[in-house]
Amino acid sequence: MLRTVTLFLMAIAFCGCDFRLFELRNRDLNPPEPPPPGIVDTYVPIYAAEGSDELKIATQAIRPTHKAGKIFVMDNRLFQVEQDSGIHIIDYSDKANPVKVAFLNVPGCKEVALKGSNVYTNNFEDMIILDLNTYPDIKVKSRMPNVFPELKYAPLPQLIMTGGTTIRYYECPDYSKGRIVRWEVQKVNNPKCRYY
Amino acid sequence: MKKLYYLLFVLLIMISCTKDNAKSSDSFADGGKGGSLARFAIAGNYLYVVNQNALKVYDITDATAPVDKGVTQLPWGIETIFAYDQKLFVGSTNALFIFDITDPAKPKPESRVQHFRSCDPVVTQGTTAFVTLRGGNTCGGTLNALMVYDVKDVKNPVMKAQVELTGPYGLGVQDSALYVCDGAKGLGVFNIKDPYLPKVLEYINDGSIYYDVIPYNGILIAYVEGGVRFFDISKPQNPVALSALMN
Repeated sequence: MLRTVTLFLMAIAFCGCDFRLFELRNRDLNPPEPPPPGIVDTYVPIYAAEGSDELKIATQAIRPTHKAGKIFVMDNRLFQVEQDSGIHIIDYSDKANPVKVAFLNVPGCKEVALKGSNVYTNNFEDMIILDLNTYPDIKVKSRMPNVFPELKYAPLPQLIMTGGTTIRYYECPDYSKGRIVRWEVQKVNNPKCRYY
Repeated sequence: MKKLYYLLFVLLIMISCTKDNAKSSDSFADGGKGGSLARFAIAGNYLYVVNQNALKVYDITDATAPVDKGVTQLPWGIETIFAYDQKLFVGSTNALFIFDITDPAKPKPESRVQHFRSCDPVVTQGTTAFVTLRGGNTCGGTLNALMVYDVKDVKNPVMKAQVELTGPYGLGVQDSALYVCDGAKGLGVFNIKDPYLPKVLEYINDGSIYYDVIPYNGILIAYVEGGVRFFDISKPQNPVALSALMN
């Protein structure tokens, strides 16, 4: 009896091993489709049509910093990129108490440099030059198309942890709908795109 | 007469000092200054831009009407550019490129230092280049380190020192102090009186994740997660926190 039980257990053990090996091999060759997730937290691209207000390059009221970016300093002014959306202008004449004075709305922004009163930055893939002489009414003085081809499309959202759960799903981008200006987390029923 | 010579001598020293000071500053543009993570570098009347695989040159004598001066194709993975003393230092995910810009419209490739795959901003002072390498997911590689190169002979940079770091981003240099943004570990302050023997003086750990710094007119401006921080660096090796602007 004992021998039968032992044999039986051994059979299960080996079987388990075999199964696992088989599964591993199977996964490598042909990843199984995960089941539809139902209604889950999902990154949803927010589009802006060409010519819409959201895509306008203009001086706006100061705003909170969410995705702090690169910096450039000129005299008592510090320019800090708000990644993907523009440039904070900070006055630090009082070094113990720096204050924001304006926000330049520049969709797709990643870079900033200045020469005199001219701001060199990027509007998605284009390099643009803004003239601050007429501030707050700023003008795009020059536009060089496609200097940063890799910035044409907003990057896919990063995998983030929210309260212990990771958001793995995102709505597949449809670039014909316009520029993606940001991603928002929303509840979506069976989103098609996901991170593995 | 002797007095006059003495005066002249003092004047000469002063001039050479000013020149030296101007040299130790980096990526200056008409009084402005950028960080070590920048993709723009302005030197004189020229703007140099790096995208992922090219170096582009623009004449900006008329600042609002750039004249396209051409493109140099580079291997994929270019991340940063830094102009210093007639040279461009271009950092990529696996190499450091040095260009001579004596003829500013035509950057002349001088050398290429291959290193482990990682992210790598560069700053320079005198004939020393400081590079940080950051391993990890988006950058590849596993090495996190500060590398010091002697670039006296730009055609043949020589590695002089390597210091282990945690996960560095940008960096900045002011006289005998080197500031290294070491991610969540904080802001590392190094004594570089002997640039080939960098010594850790302190780590400023105030809870911020440090990404980049610009030393500027006695102030150190730091780009951190969520905003900026300001330090007094009138004594470069001893930064004193002044303020922060978050949100």
